[in-house]
Amino acid sequence: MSVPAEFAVQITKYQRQLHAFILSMVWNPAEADDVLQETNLVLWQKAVDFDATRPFLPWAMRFAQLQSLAWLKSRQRQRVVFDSDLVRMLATEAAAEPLFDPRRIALASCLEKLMQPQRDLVLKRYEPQGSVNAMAATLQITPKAVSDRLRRIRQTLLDCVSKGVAREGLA
Amino acid sequence: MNTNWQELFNRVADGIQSETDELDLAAVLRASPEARRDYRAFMELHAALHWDASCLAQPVHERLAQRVAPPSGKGFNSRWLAAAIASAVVIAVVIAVGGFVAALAILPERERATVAGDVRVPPAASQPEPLAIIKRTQFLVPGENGPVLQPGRPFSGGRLAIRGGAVELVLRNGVTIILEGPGELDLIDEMAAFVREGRVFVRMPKGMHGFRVRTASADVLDLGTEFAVGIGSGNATDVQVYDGAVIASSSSKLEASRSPKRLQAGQAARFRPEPSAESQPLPYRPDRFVRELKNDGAIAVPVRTDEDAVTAARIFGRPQHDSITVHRAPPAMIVDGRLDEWAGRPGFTSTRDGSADCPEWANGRMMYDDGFLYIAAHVGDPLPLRGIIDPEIDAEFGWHGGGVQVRVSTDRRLGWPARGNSWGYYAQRGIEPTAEQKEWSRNPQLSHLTMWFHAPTQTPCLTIVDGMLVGELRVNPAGFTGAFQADKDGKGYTLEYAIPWTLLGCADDPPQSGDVLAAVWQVNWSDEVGHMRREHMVEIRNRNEPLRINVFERAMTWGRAEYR
Repeated sequence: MSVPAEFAVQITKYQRQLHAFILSMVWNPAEADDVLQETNLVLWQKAVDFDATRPFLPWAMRFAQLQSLAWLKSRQRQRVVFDSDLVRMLATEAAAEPLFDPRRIALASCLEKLMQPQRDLVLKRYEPQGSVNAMAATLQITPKAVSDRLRRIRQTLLDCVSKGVAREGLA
Repeated sequence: MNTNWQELFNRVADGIQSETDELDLAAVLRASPEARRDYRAFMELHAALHWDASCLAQPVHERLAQRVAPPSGKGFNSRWLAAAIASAVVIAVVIAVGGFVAALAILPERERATVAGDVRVPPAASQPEPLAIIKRTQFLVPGENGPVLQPGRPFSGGRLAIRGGAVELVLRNGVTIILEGPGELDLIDEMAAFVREGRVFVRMPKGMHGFRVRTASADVLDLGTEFAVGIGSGNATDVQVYDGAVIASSSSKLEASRSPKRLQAGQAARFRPEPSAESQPLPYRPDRFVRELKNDGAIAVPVRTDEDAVTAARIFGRPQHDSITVHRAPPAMIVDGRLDEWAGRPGFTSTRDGSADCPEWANGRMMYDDGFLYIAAHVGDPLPLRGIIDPEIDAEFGWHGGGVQVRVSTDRRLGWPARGNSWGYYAQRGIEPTAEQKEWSRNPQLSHLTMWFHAPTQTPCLTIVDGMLVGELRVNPAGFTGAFQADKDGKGYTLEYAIPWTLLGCADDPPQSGDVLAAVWQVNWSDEVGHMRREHMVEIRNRNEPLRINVFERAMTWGRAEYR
């Protein structure tokens, strides 16, 4: 099968955006990794159908959406709450999101501004196999207390990102 | 963000949500576009932290050293660059494993034992040192979003992708690997690598063997040697042995074509991925692969005994960005310092010390059209526009009175990174530049621009020096336009300049959309009088270069200017 060069460029470019969308369905980052891989496999199989004159992301989101739904079904999770209409709505809006890259760029400098204990907490949470339950056991506090700490850090980062994007005149 | 939503999103992200939470989440997402917008932003953050936290939220050196080389399993693939490409290659890896097993079958007992683990260093988890150290780079153009590839930096394994030049790694067991760009490999552990693209040279320490290089079409097992592997058109793999021997086999599914070949020093062969293809002998060409890198000469300034981190940051800055977008300018640009035409064309924003409330900050932007390079900045400055440096007397010191310096390459053939060092760079390091290096330093398409406001005459000033500060200083050259505006609150100013390409040595071939060239910014803040530089900051810097090198003396330190 001959894959168009533009296809390879596009699928690489949009990995993060696809992953973020899948994560909004799947919630667990490592499991979202798996769904992303399955989505990539399907995208490669469908590469010959890709019309390079049309936007890549909405096209790819359709497959990400289907793979996410299949994953939800296979796990018997969220099957009631995240139906196909809601997933489709989230996918459509995610494909049209103009601030994905500006926010990602702004995040880099926002992370630099975190205090060391905050950085450590983020790293622990997002390291491979990291979880609030494991952190709670280590810190001898409840998972909810860990999650509350993370919530405050995430809010700080979201505020910082939002300001950074606004400063660039994009929001 | 609505507090209830925020708490709900966090519980979901952390896996401690209840069934009621899940129902609430779905209900609010169905009902509210604002909730979906906030949820999207939240999940982007959640995803980005998963992808990037380990390499961004840390002092890089220490934590890289602690990281364990990623496994070659499922999670590994999806976390490293294009999982898409990985998916396609997984099949090839599985096939290659078959070839490897066949190769093992013909090895003597001693060699099998070696492969099984005799010479392997214990896993990284029990050792603090990183899997590899970057030893040298030459003309390096790193891949996007990859690790920092400065000489001396640790590399913890996983994907290594470069777009040009070459990088040399020394693994903790002494194995040397040189990757030529464009190239891409996965360093799996101290005895195995998977090459996806490019050319790789491997040198084993004396007495050690068992290193294994796999590609989509071949599997090469070292028997104590120096060898090289190159991926060519059609995913064919060329193997050439310089010293010792290797066992190489095709990854073909057909048993006949998969039978392992022993290649000795002075031999080369090509392995194709087609099922029926057998390996073909190739003529041995010693110079086909790069076996030794010459250091580019990135020699950092030594740390002084009286220097702390704050002082170091004041000298070399603390750059936060390594690229800037150079947007296509709208028609009918008016250079008045008001920046009306710059809306929706972002650049970078940074503060001098990295803190959010620092009064010294800058928002820098760049645009271009067929005739001009446009530069604009909004600078936070508690003592704005006080420069008294007279362009007719002390133009070379214009930056002392505050203002902005931008150093750019317009050399489209050179691309990024730029190269060339100032004479001072060589002199201070006791290096005699070669004729080629001198030529790079004189490149007339490297331009150092200094823009400042001369308060006594209310004049926007510009100086240009070509090459690595080896050309003539041109003061307020004819053709440019500049304008400054003070902020109403007295805490900053804006500047806007239009500089014709004719002044930058590229009128006949100006930058075009899609070009990636070099640029770096320095923003200077003066004292109350306006004749002494008080502070400065550096932005848009090549993060693969040591920080302790002044950007005005080495063009390789300049970051990426991406013309859109």
